[in-house]
Amino acid sequence: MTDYALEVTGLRKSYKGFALRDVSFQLPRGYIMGLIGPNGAGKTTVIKLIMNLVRRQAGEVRVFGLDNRAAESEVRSRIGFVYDFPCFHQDATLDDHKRVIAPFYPRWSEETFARLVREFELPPAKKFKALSHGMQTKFALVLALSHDADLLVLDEPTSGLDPVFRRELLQRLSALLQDEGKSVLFSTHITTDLERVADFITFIRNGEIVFSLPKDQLLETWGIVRGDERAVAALDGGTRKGVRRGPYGVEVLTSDVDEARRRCGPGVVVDRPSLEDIMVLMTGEESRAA
Amino acid sequence: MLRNLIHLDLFLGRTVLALNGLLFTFWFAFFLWMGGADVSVGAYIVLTSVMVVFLPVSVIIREGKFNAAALTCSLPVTRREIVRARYGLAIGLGSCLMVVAIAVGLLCPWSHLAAPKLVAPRALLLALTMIVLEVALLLPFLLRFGWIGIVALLIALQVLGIVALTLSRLLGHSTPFGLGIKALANTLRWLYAKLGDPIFVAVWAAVLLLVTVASCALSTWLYERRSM
Repeated sequence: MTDYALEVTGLRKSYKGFALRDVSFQLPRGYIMGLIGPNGAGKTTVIKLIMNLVRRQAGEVRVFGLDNRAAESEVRSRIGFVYDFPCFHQDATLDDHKRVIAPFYPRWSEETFARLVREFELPPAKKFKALSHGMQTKFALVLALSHDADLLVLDEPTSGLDPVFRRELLQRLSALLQDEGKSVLFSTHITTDLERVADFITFIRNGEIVFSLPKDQLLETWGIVRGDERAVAALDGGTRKGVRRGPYGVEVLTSDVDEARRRCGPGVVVDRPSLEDIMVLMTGEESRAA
Repeated sequence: MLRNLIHLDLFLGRTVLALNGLLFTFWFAFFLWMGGADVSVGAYIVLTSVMVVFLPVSVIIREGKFNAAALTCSLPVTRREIVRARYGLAIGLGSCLMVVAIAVGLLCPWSHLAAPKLVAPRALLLALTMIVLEVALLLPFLLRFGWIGIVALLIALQVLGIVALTLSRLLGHSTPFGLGIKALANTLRWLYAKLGDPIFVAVWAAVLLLVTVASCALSTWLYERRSM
């Protein structure tokens, strides 16, 4: 039986003009999952539901087998969380926040906190409002990483960070997995970040999960067929996931690159897709859920 | 966890607490100076106990200003615990400032308040009653809707007061409405007079506890449904 860090099943939440419908996915323990999707797709809502910051209308969220509502405190003590917007007291310092937040976590490590503050070059006595957006994100990351969380839930953690620190953060997340067996769920628009570190990719669009698959499977078996309308016709079937028509031809996203080669013959170009290609083609003019 | 939550609010709101606490203290002294010998112990207790609750309210409002409720709600605590901590904070901090108000009444050189009356059990019970009832009324609105909830409630109470006064003036005191207002005033006077009776005090304490528990349950129900 697979040991899951996070199991989301049949999650539903409706707002005026938006609904999250039957969202389900699983993150096995010790892996990184990237949550991608266009703006307004429902990524932040899913993360808020996992954190029980909004009330679900149906479905279930289990963290290490525990229901996130029934065992709210225990679940949260095992999660390191970074919000997509700053929710700290603007006129308090990093030290002030540490002083009030640390007592809530039984596994809080002063040593880790001090080391991260030093490594991230954060000024502990400076007020939150005086920090740049990138520094504020680092501030949130330090707090999330200092209590030995088993699962990190990060909502857009790399936005606003410079490329050097982004790379460093991703290396740090990978190291956490290798050394300590932690699990990570993070949403991002920067799909290149996920190509470096993610083990699973979950793609959400219009409040529905389009796919939740291992990254290697996506990048190895999916492909982009570049050709003309004949390619679209040849790939008409279950493996065609998206089509984009441009001035220089047609791009077809397929979930079975070998079959696409067989069906289309030598007249087309077949490329390995990047996550960005998959995201763009699956949000394009004609797309189909995996 | 309740202690941690109260510590969080007190520590992160310490500047606003100090400034507003000082401001309120000056206001108490100013009120005594302005009122002179006309200020009765009852009036002073009622007015100050209405004001003191706004000190903890200002701390909770600040959290809303910074969107920091999401931070508190992402900590390993339940919303029920957050609500309980807020009730503890509001009643505790309100009572502390009430002690300051009584101290001002006793020590202020221009105060005409009789010291024995000001520290009499009846006055202290009146203050506690006012604080508890005000907290029970304000917190459900504050926790669910933030400062907008408080403003809306205060406006609604003002409008209600104006309507009651106008109707009472227009319809006269002998109509059912006027009689109702009169009965309410008489009940409050009777309650105040009864505050000296030990058996009544015990019953009254139980009533206050019940009101707090009911308000806390309502606040929890509302807060658990609030999206962060």
